[in-house]
Amino acid sequence: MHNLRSWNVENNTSKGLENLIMETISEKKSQYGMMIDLDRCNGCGACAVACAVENNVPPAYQQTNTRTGITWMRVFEIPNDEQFPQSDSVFVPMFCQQCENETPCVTVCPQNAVEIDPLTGIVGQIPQRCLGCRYCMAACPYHARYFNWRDPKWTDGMKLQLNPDVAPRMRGVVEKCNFCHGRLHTARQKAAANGSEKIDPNDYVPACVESCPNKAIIFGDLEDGSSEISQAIKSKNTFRFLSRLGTEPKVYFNSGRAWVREMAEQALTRTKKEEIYG
Amino acid sequence: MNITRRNILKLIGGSAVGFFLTPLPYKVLDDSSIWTQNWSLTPPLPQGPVSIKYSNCTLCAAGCGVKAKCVNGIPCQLIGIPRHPIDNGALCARGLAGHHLVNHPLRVALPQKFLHKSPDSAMEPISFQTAVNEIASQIQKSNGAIAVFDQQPGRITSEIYFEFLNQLSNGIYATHPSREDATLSTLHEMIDKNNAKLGYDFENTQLIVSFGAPLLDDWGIPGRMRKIFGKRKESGLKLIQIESCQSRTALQSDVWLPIKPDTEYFAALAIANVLIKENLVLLAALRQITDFEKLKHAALQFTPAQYSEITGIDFSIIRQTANKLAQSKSAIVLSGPNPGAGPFNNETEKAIASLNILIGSIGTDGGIVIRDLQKENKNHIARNWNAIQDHSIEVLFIDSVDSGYALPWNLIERKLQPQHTIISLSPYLNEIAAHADYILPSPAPYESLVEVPAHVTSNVNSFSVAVPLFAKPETVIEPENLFKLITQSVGMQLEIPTTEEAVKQKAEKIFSTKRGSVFSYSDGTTKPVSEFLSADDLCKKLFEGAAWSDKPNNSHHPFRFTLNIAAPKNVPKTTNSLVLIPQGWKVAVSSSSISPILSKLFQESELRENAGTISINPETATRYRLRSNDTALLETEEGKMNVRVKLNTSIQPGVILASVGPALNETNFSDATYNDVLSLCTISDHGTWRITQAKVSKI
Amino acid sequence: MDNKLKTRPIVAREAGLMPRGVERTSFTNFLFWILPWTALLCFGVYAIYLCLADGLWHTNMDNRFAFGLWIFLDLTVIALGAGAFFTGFLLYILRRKELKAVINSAVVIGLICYSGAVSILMVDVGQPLRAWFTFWHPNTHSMLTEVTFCLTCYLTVLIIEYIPIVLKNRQLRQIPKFLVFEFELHKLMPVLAGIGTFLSFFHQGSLGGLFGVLRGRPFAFREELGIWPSTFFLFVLSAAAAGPSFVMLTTWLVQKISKKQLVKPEVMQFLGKVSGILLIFYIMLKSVDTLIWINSTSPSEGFPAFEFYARKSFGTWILLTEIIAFGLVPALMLLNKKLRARPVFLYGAGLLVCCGIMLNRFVMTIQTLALPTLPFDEFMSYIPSWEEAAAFLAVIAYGVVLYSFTFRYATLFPQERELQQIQRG
Repeated sequence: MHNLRSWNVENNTSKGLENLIMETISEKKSQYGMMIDLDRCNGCGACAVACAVENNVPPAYQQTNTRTGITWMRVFEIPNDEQFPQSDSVFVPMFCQQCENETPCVTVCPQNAVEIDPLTGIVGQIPQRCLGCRYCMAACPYHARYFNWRDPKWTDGMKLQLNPDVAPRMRGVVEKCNFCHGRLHTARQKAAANGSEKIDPNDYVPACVESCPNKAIIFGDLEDGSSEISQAIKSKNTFRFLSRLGTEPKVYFNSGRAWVREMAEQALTRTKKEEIYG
Repeated sequence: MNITRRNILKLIGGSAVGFFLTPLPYKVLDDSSIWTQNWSLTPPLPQGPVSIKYSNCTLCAAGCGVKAKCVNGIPCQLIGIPRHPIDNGALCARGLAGHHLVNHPLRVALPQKFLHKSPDSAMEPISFQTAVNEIASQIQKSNGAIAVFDQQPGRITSEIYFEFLNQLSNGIYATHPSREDATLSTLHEMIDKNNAKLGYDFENTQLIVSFGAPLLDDWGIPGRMRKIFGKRKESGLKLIQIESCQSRTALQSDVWLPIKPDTEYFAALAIANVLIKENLVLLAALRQITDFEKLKHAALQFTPAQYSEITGIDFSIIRQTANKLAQSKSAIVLSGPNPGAGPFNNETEKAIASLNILIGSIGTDGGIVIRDLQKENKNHIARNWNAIQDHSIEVLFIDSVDSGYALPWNLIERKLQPQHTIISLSPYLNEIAAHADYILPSPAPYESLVEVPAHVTSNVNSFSVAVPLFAKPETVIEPENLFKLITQSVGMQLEIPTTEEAVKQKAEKIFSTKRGSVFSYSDGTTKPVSEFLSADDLCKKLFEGAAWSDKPNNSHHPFRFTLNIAAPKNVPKTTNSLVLIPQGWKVAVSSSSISPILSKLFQESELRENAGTISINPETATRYRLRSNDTALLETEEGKMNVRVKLNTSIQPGVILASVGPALNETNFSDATYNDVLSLCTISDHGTWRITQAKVSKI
Repeated sequence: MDNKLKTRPIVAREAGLMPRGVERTSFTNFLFWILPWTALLCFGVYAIYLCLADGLWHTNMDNRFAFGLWIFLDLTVIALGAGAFFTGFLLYILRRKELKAVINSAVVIGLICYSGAVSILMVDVGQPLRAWFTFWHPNTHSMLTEVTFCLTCYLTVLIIEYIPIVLKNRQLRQIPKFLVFEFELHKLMPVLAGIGTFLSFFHQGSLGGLFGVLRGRPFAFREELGIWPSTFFLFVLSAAAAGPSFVMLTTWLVQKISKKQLVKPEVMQFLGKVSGILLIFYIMLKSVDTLIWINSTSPSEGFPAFEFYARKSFGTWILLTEIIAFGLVPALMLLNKKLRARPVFLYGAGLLVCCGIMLNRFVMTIQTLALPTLPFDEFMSYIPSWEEAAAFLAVIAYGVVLYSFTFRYATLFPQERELQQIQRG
């Protein structure tokens, strides 16, 4: 089961196997979620790099830009509305928000290439089944889905340095953050080897969480009342982006700054100033 | 049976229907989709045993501990070591992809000789021996200076350079003008005891006043700074950032003083002014300073109103800052070079450093402490690049390691004789190597054994080794072996130890002192040095992946300081014209020093600006009729270039922040002409390039 | 001289393929007409080859503009191609015999539109060889599944409907088997029309539903009526309204180009009337829907609807143009008998209706994607690459070529012979 790709090739018409494996290993239902402390994030970019290395996301082509690149984890810098020197800005890491309710990308995919795992709550993308119609990208309000506009390209030496646990994607399919599925898999194997039904939370830590030098990201099981994250999201400074759409994203943000929380609630009014600045 | 048209039609019709009843069409459909799933253009995954190796990152002097996940023995993922005593287990974005650097597109695999003296000249391969012979004859017949430019002083290799240059009558050991320990080295020059190695005791401090040091943007040891600031709520640490633009550090500071560009000198004097006038200077400190009158004269030369006018900061805020400094239980005032814009001039550095003396932070907990007292000081021939006489160097060796800070080529060129030879030891064809006559490539990061001494800003001594994670190609040569060949060729007698021997010696030294403890990377345990059985045991542990760190040196020495501060001669004129400030990110100022995967930050998102981008305030943009993403012409006295405009409200109106970084969009890592903007910078008499008058216009 | 001798039999043979009793332009003229279109088609095919062989980076679509010119094209041609199903519905189900005059043409237009759309869709997806996965493991919740199923089935229906038109060719009719087959197919027509109407109802609707279900795109999201968002019904109705107008418009265009009268004016006016009636209903419903969206749907998702129109390029004018200039105005023109009788108004209104449907589909695809959703998003614009434009033009060229050949060698307008005799007589 090392190579997810060969697995899927053989089973491209069966979606039950994956569930079967999950059921045998962990029967307890989890809801994995994240919380990002925006006051701790200073936009260093470590999460984005660690994510690309972990998930075998290829480096950019010469012509690639911010609109055609593949950045499962992308950090935005958002200024407040004040002028210098009252200006302030916040760095917001944006990635798949793992919507729980009426997950927009899951419902639209014509061939079940996007699935939400009921055992983990993780929205998964199956690149081997993806048609590349990009309907899910149009459906995602977070723009957290990325299309392989080109064939992935690494230098010959770098090809030998790919992470053996994650299959690289081919041209013409959509990909996105899946809370480091390769790591979940490894953790499950380890749990199974130890005869345990439940994985050790320390064994399953996504690359961005592990690499954040500011420890700004908390990851864990929202269902488990004693986990750090279920405690953390109770803070009054916690919010989610576009929660009003009712899709129940499982990624939370936290900021002590009132303007940041207000910004997150704003709709289109905020972007109007682009008209002035171009 | 007759063959009729009817029969043929029947046959065709029947076959058509029958075809769909055979497995063939479905097999074709299935196989075609399997073909798309085994897409031949995606590389196969490496298959093989997965192992863990430990080492240290050597991309900058911080030397963070690294855990490498390897497949077939080749590292595929790097991560920090949790609970590491020095770097707290954090790796920066560049360090996380440091294992890609061996396969960097700009890597030079063979020794090369440039055919002409120009950056775009063709290269031809040359053997090490031929190159060494040619260089040796250059050294022998030279009448100018022979210099080695070492960007990370303090290593064992650096000592080899000393020894080599010491034996020459005209040797110069040159260091990068941008130093993270600029304030410490300035203080060092003011102190009567020059054998004291200083360090910042950030862990115990209550207040940091930073003059533009990018403390939270990978300055010093990134993980250390982040740990200290991560605990600021509990520790009560406050940061006052004095910087003209709202950098990442200014964003996270408690107070940000948005001073006018290049007026840090006056800001420091203004604080001194308050300290002196309001009798906030410690009496004990006063007695230690031999030339206090000079400082007093300089600081009182201007009135508060004048200081406000010059720096653009309300004097009441300067007063508050000075008061906080004086009242704080412990405080540190420091400067830091900007990775793009380089260092402050000497006078500014002195003014900033002397504030530490006035508030009595030298030698106190939470201030500037003595890390170590060296018995002998070999530093006497080390010279800051700026201190070298112009047009004096004839043969210049440029060491392979990177300081992480930019250096304009103009500034290097200024020190060279018209007839010169440059030898680059860099494994990459970077912007400076492109000007060399010879590239004699050293091993890339993680290809050779490198020792990691304590960082220049550390408050405690430490030591670890970066063991190689890759096999070194045969076509590269370690600097010590190269210098062995050169000394032989020149006919010198020089004992050059291998790094391994030097590490052993260092381990023996540590073992003999029995000080400090060793943190093991594999199990996260800490073991006092005294519990090791032998020096070999300790050495073995270091090679397996471990960090030795000393306990804090609590020696309190009475110092005497000679500040040598001169009063400012003139007040900077306020002009309406724009000023250009180069801006960079430590280590990522060059395409060659970062993995191509960093394109996620520079090219595929707007988190970091790549070369050829300027950021300006929307107000400035309106003034010059520029819009976001416009192409504009940036002009200075030194030249002009086309740039892409970005708008940012956190930039002071009138300032152009021009980014010094990899030019990913244009060159895709295949070209080294990335930081053109540095060539537009006016280099001052002090050898700094922090500010340049500039013009910008829409194309 | 020799040339003439050699070519004459070919020309004569070629003339033998044409329907009896009608005049067609010379072979040379036809060649000059068809060649530029074929060249354009080849150029487009080259662009399509680039996209298929080298990857979709040849387009200017990106992660935000995941849909572009091609999806707009698909939606538009499928809406305009609705003439085929709706004329068939009126003729075979509601027994409006006068529409026999245009049904063949409507079927050919339908076939062109649908086959063009499906071909472009195959280029647009990243992995076309996996397209059949939708049939094998369909997600029944997805509007795109519904679209794919109905589109494929309806395209099959259109091909079956197209066969008798081809078989009616003078030369092919001489094969008795074909004549019988054609006759049998003809008896099937009402059934096929029924199936076509059923399928069209669902896929036209699902194309609307495609955007209406996008909860994450508050500009497109609409409340559900039953199991479908309101755009489902609006798309059905608007396509039904635009279809007859497009049939009318193309017929008029063919008349102009071939310089012949092909259809009696009453037929055209009837098509216009049908279009007008449906359009006025559509406009009413669309207005109600827009009001509900402005006052309820959008605000309930936290997006004040007028903010969507705050950009310079996509102001409220776009909404007003769609509803009034391209909706109410042509509807009234078509409903007024006197105005309808004047070709300027009839065809002018038809053009406005078609523009309206194009604008509507444009707004649904392009404006929906251009608008930001996250508070820090930017408003984005997109300009198609030459490859996208070339593929787009190739569909048009393909349509012209197929239509021209069918028009030349098959009977598209049964009234043509009668009208030409009147003209001559």
